[in-house]
Amino acid sequence: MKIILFIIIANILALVTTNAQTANNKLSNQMTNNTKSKAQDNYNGVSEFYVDGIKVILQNNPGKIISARVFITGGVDNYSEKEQGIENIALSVLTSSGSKNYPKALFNSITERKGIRIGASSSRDYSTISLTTLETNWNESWSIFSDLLITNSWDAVEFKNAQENIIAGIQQNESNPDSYLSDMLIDGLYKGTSYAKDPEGTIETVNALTLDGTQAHFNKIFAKKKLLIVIVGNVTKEDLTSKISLAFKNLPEGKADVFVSNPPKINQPELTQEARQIATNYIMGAFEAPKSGTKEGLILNVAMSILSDRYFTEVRTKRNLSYAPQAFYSGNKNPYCGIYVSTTKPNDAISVMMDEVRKIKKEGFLEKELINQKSSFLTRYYMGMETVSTQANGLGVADLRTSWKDAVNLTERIESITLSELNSVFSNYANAIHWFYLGDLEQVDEKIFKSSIK
Amino acid sequence: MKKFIALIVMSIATTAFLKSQTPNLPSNFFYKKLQNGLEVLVIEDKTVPLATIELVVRNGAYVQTPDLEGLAHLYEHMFFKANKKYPSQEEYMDKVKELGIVFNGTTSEERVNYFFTLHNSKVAEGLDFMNNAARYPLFLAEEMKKENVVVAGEFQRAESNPVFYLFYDLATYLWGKESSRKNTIGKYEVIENATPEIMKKIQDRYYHPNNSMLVIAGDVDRNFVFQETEKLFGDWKPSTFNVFEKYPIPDFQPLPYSTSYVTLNDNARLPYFIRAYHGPDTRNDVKATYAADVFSYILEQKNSKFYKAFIESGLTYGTQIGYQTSKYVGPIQMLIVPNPSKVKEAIDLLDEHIAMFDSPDYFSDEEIAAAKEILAVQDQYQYEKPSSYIHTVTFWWASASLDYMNTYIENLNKVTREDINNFINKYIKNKNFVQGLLVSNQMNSMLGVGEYFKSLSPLESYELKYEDDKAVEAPIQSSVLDEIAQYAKLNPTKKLIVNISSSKKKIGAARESKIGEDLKAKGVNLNMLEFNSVIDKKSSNLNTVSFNLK
Repeated sequence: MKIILFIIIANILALVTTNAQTANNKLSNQMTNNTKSKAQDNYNGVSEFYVDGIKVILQNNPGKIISARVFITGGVDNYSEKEQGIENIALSVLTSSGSKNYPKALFNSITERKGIRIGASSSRDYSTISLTTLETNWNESWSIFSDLLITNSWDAVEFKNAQENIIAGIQQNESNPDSYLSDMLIDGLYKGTSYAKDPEGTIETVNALTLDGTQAHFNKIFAKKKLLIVIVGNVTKEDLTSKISLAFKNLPEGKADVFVSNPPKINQPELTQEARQIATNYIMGAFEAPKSGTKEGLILNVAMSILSDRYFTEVRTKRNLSYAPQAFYSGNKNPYCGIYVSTTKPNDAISVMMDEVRKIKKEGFLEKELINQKSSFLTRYYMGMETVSTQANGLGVADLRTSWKDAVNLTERIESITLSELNSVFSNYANAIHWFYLGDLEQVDEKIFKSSIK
Repeated sequence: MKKFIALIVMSIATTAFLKSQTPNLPSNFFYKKLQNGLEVLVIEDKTVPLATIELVVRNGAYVQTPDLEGLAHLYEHMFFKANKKYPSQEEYMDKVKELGIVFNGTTSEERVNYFFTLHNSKVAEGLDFMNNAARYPLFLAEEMKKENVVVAGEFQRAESNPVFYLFYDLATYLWGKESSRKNTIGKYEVIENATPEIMKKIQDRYYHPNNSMLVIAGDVDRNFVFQETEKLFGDWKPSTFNVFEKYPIPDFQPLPYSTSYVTLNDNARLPYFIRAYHGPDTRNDVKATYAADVFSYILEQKNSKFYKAFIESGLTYGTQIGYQTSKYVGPIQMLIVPNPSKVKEAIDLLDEHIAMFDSPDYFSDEEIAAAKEILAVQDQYQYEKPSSYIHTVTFWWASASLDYMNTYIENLNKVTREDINNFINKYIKNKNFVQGLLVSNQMNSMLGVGEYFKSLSPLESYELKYEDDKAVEAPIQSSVLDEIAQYAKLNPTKKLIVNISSSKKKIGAARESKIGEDLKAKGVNLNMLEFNSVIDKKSSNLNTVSFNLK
């Protein structure tokens, strides 16, 4: 069985599920990141130290797999609107070009055969370059990984292919209603701010990028004060210190980024809609959320999970208005609270979903709901902590916002939430919804969408 | 490499368990079979304090006749509804929330699985919850009526992605009359008309302990789990029949000829091309299933000829060639997302590469070795996440066996170049296939790929009937001739047989001559054309013409 193909086919046709698994790629990523931002409280051995000015977090884990994750701070603030996509393509080329000591063919051969997984991603908040490897291959893997970061070959063929692939991906996303809806929401909520920039870029900006410019961008951002390295696995501090120092001691200092959370303001009901002839209608709503990394943010995260459960009952189970209703806290640097549904009866579904928000504001959540949600929240949290790679991600993301200790203490933080805090935070932030709609416009009753939830 | 140990079934205090047919398993796997035939597998993994409980049943699309198309999936939805202990879905969901369960179920061609993940301290309650859902569903008419709409909603979501239609069309052509046995999502009309009685029928056929396995993975104690399992599931009555003997799954007929089709969808922004062959299966050709996997991983390597030609060259944005292990004919699928300006080149190049697949220099011995290593390392990574790995285990159980899973790496290592070439020659090279292209109308007219890649009806459907006195003069529509000529081009090594039935010899001969001229004009090689004319004086006043390939 070839797993990758199997998954693609499964998603398209062959595998069908009881619950929606990928309601929205971008949405799903946001939620996953959010889940990953929690770490397990009874994991000992997390330590923090600096190597030649670079911050390092190490969680010792006796397993057979080691994960190393290099975070580069700054996110969309690292580039201009015209340069959208530059960091994304830089990391794509970086991780596929090979390096001085490991030219491309050798690099591909060793990493494939030994299962040394090197990947990268760029989000609005930060970029990551990751290494996941078997403990038995750790020394060689780090050698390849660090050589790639310091003496990269910046292969012109890889650049050209990455450019074409990214553009194709952008086109492909347009045909996926979930991705397109997510882009509509980002445009609507963050327009006029740096956060509206798309890390993937647009067709125009990606086309205009050059290999030289891309390489120069990487050299600018790959600086000591912009880096955070997180390692989870069976590695000693001494070994790690020596390896990091050897690889990165000559990097430029750079300028540290200051983490400032600035959630979008949503003061009045709004509806942004676009027509598309598809079998069902895709709808996402957003209301305000507290700043990232705050206690209120965690409380609202729990509240949105309860709301999601209520939608499953009210929208799907009782009224059968949708296969996939959801509510979530976006969990990014400038967060929002999201409500999502795909339905052939948009007015009915949205009425029920807004009524539920009104009901909670009026009557509050039930004590039982909070107790139950703490339990399932922790199940999801532990599910996100099964791999060293998600543990490393969780520690790193928490540290970029506040401290990795927030991730380690998450279970206590969840347990300490009270019903009055839950009700008060939800009521304070759920004041107006900005809806985004993709589908048959004839079916939309604007009055319903733009009605008040106050 | 996995470490294997022979599992010794304890004889003391295990009278309730059968000792036979115990597969060899890794050291943290513990297997038992209850007297009623229910297989129980415990996978101990202490990484996080969770337990995942999964019930897998040998059910899925492959058991579906057309009147049941999509109902294995609808049943899966009804599993999470009212049962004897929790008599409404509200009560069912209340229990889910109380236990902090994260749940889901999936339906594929040869497996239906249901899984609950919860804190390990609640594993006994989780097993009790699973027991009630599995054995005592109520299939309330009102809940079914509502769930039909939910399943339709899932269908509509799939339909909103244009690639869905490419695969839907592919399945229709690839599996022909038995396509209901590969279509998990089913058909609207069948789902809408499903009744509680039909659900009960499915339960009576497939939902028996001797057609199921229960897997519990996570931070659990195997002795406690076995004890609870016996207590809860031990009195589940087995069926008195083997369902696959009583309701046998017919063999998928080999493809009679190659077919091309075009899927037009205006939401498509990029062209997608797929070609599929009937591959081996674990019942009839296990050896080829290993060769198929090794070969896929040879092509995927970045230093392979295939990768360099299709990906590194920029000809395509992505390709995936893979075989899906199945018990009943696994498909070999080649999915290509070509650069829109190079669709024809990409398809032509695929044919060139297929022709070279078995050449001695197409892949090296190092690439064979590397493919085996890649598969072995992937296997190790899978163990890391028990809540997901459990699904892989149940997949193998359903489509192969636990022994197949356990000896998988060992058998991959035995694959030779000759095995791979045998696989290529038996299943791919010069074999009939189905290929499809997804494009929007705009792409189609801009690129002219539709003409190049003609959409066809099944060849058997071209049965043309003519009144006796008009049999000679009545022309076959030019579009029909085009499509038949296209079949001839797609199947250059096969004879195109034209079957003519007429009441008079004279009519038959004249018709033969006319059709020959018309097909020749469409580019068909007359040497590959064969007429099979019969005189049927009893055939009232109708004459027929039909086509097939030999």
